[in-house]
Amino acid sequence: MEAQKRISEITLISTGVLASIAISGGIIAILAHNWDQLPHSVRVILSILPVLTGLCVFSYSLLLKYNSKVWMESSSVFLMLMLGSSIGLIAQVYHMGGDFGRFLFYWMLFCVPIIYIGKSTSTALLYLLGITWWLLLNWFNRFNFFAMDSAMGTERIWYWILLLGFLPHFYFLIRDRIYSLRAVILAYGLMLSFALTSQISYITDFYLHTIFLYPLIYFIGKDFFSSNTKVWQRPMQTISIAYMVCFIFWYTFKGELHDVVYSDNYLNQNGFTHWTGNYEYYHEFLLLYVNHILLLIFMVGGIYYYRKNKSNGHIMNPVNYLFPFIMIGALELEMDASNMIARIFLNLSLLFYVSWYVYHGLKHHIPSIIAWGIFVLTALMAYRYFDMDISFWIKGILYLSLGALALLFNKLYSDKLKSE
Amino acid sequence: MSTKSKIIALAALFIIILSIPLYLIISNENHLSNTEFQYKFRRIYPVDPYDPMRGRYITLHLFQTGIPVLDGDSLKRGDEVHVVVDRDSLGWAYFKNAQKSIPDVPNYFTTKVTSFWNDGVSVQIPFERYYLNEELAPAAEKEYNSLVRQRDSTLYLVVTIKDGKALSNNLYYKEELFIDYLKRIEKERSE
Repeated sequence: MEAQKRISEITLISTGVLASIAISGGIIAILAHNWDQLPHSVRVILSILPVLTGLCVFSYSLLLKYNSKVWMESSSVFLMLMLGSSIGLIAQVYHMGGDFGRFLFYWMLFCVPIIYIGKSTSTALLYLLGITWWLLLNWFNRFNFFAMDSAMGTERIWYWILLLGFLPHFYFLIRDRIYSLRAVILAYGLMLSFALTSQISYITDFYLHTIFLYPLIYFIGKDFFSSNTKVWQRPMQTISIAYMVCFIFWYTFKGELHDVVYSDNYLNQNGFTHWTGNYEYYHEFLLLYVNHILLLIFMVGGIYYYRKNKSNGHIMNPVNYLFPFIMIGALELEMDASNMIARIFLNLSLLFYVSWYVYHGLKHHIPSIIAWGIFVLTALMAYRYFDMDISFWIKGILYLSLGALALLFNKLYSDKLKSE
Repeated sequence: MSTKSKIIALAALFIIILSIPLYLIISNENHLSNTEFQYKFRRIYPVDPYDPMRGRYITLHLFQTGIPVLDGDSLKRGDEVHVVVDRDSLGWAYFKNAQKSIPDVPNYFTTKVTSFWNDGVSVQIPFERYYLNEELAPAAEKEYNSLVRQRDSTLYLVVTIKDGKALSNNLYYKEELFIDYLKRIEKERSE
């Protein structure tokens, strides 16, 4: 009965939000037609009409339908889109310049209060989509793919400042550590946003920020989503785990670590000047500090949540919490030893990672983590088969031995199952 | 949430949400009222793109040779820059110089450098968009080829430029509003 009620509510909210989006889209398109036959003053009034309508509908919901999630979600989304429509129409009436990225930036910034007054998850999700889109547009513009715009410079760090508009809403949903579909959906949105932006959203090189960000996400996921029983209900853990493995995997390829060390400003002729800043404008210095504070938050937050998880007795794969040290170690080896040794070190880390999952999967009877371990091992073996630059006969013996070991494991494990 | 809290929250939301469109309208109207700071730009080449929220517009590419950079300023791509505009002896606007510091004169707009070379820079033009009725925009595109051939003062844009801000007033074709011109030729073609 409870489940049926929940499904009905989700259906009503989804269709309500969909209706809001469709109606808003219709209004935006009709007004974007550009009714230039109307006098200027009428067009100015018309341009402000969508946001006024949005505010009226939102006020009605807040004052008279506050307990209806359908009304609150739908009217919040409607107001958000109508605000965008009004800003767009004013830009149209006054022929204002500026690309779509700049338009998105201001639109999103002014949508933050709607998320909190309306307590609207759909608006929060659209907001997340908007700020991610903004960052990606800026990044594309940097290469002049879509528009002639400025180089991105320090602006990219605004993604993290804008994210502050989203995070408290997300925290209110997860703080009780009780399963909530809204929290899971938002967590997926957040993880998708990070996956798309985490390599382009820092002023300095992404490497250091990224290797501290993902363990933090993993620990937060462990802390807040552990009560969720199914794998898909724990997006912060699953996606951060997958990201970290892919990250290690990427740097097992020949030359990739070399590129980080020598091309990405760590040890090239610029040295560390980009960490101390070489900017002429005060606001750029401020944004550079935000960049560094962000790294500090990732580090301190990671330590805090790691300790919290440890004290709560959560079991964690060491590679997941040692991830930053493994990647820094690999960089050190790249600089002081050779690319080959650094890559061997990363391959061994992945082998340890796989063994840990298989061992714990068997010990605690969790098939999903055994499957994940085997999947990573298979991918590792497949890639190494093609890019390992050693004699064929050695490679042949190596792979035959691995196959024999797998068969032996299979035999021993099936015997054990029979004896049980 | 009590009714009193809801009303306070709503009042705050009205102020925040309405502040942006009202600010844009008031500041734009104020800016456009500065008729003495209107500049006529010629040699513009329109193309017709599309914006999902703002409708169809034509991008007005201004013919830019290198804008001289003020002595001592070194500019690179992406830098914020202030471009001083002036009128030549025939009354046409041109970019006088680009500089990092805020100019002492009011006739400048603020933008970013898109490319640079030894003798000057080119910049992002903040008044490059001219929004049109969606039925007129394709007609504008049709006229593109003939407009490109007419290099001088046949098509020009009037822009109000003051204290860093630039807004297009109107686009003219041979002293006639471009929109009226398009409507006229569309009508002539259909007859």
